[in-house]
Amino acid sequence: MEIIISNSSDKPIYEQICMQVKSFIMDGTLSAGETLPSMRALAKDLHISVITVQRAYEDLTRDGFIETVSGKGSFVASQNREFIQEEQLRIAEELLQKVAEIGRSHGISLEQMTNILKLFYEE
Amino acid sequence: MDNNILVQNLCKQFEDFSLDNVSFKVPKGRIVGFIGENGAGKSTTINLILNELNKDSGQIQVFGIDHTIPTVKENIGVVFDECNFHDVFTTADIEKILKGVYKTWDSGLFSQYLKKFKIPTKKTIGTFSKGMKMKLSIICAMAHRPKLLILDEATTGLDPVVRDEVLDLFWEFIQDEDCSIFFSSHITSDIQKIADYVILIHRGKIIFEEQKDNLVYNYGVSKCRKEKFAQFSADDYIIHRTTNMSVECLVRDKEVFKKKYKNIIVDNATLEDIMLFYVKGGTSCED
Amino acid sequence: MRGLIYKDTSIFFKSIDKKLILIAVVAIVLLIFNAGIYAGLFASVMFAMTIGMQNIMSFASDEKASWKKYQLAMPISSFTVVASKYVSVLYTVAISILGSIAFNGLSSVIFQNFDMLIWLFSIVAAFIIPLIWTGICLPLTYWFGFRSAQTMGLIVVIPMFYFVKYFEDGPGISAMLNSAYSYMIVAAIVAVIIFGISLVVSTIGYSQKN
Repeated sequence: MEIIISNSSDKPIYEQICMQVKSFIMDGTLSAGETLPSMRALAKDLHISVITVQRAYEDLTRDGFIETVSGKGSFVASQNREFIQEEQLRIAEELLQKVAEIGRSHGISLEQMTNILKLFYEE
Repeated sequence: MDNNILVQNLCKQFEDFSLDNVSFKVPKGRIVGFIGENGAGKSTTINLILNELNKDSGQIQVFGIDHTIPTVKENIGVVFDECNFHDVFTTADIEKILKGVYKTWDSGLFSQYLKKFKIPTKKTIGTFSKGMKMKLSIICAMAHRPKLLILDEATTGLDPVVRDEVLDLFWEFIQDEDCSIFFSSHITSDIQKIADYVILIHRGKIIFEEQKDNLVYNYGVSKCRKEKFAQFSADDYIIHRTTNMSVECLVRDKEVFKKKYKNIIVDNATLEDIMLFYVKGGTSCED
Repeated sequence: MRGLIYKDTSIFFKSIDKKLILIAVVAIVLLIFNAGIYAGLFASVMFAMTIGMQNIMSFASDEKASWKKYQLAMPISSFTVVASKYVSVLYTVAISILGSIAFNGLSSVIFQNFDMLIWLFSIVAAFIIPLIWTGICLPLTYWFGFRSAQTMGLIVVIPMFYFVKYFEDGPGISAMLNSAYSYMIVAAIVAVIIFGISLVVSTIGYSQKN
């Protein structure tokens, strides 16, 4: 699992880790049951605080992507359709918010935007 | 016992300086950075923890027991800002000395580190460069497998390459969850890289004890003109300072601040920025 | 403790001043050829004084290396620290005695003279001189720093020199030996007691913190 973090990104580092691990899980790079590196090892490899990694792992656990067994480590949770769909919905919402901002600030009407979206759906 | 060091209400009076109710903890498995300007009290605090000086009042516990008990030091590795070994010794001499002092000395680990950091074993320490002496001091502190590393300005005067190698050693050290590092430095960039928690001391008082992530990723420095600053409310910022050009404020949460004041520049705050705000002052809202 | 004993004995040998050795060797050689049958005795005294001096000179190295600060962070008691130093001095006393035996052996062979009294006196001197010298100077190191010890060390040379000179010029060495014979044992015991008291005083001095 290769995580790349940016110090100059707007996103806090724990969020960057979270997002990358989630995408690895969803595109199959990390399969169900696979072990994640220990928090300390990951902190060492990324040269960041172990607390940051801890937070990322906590968020991933909360969102149902990984499970942590004390003494054994963390591993990828068995796939849960609902969780994945919720996550994708959240991503789509973020993108739609951006679309709305562009539309509003450049005078593109809601009707125009909806039509474009319809076209993409029917492809 | 979750803390390797627990300091409570530590006080020590000198002629022209005093430590005033210093309290903080160094939890297991964590690296705690201790920052402050020269003369703020970092070394004094460390000397008190190590019982090199007598405290006036307060409690200090190391590994859950009183710090004055000599056996506590069996598990502490100490590095000061200078190499404390005599120039005439070789690494073999130093090993003989330290092996006879620390019960848990690990010769294999010592020679492994010497090899890794290319420390000459046939030459006397007097011939070493400063960087090499420092690396040796750190290796010696770690070779007896302590649970706690205390470093007092141990990387000051080292070039960036050596500092990087040293930080790597620390990351390796902290892989053991029982171990902690307490690291004082006025090179805030080192602390920013490696610490989990940061404590700022100024004129003998603890100013804050915070998670590094919170300081580095949430705190920010806003810059605006004086008229704009007049519109801020007291809870919006921690400290402000006025320059010829503008008013700069240290804010606790830059995202929140950005949302409230949309067109104001808010830069990321480095640990050094934060320290300068607190140390050089400006005016705090509490004033 | 053994780590520190190794440190102190190591420092003793590694920090031997070449100038000191040169002076000592020259003096001893001169003495052997000028002092006649007392060569062994004078060489022993000279050697014992060199050992005493070298011990005191080496006290400076701890301060130069800022060793004390590092030592205070070690899991050892004040008594152990100070006692290690005293034990290392005893090792040097042993060397002083061995040297005395060697010089007297040499002297006896060169001058074909074996005098039990001279041998005895030499060995006792080899024993007492470093003990008393360091016994006085070590507590000074622990209470006031190595410079006071080194100053005192240099001062002590003067009465010793005059003591020997007095007998040399006046009644003569044999008179000194005969009169001092009965005091040798007492002197040796007194030296040990001074050394012991010195250990206690040094330990108290070392434990003083601000």
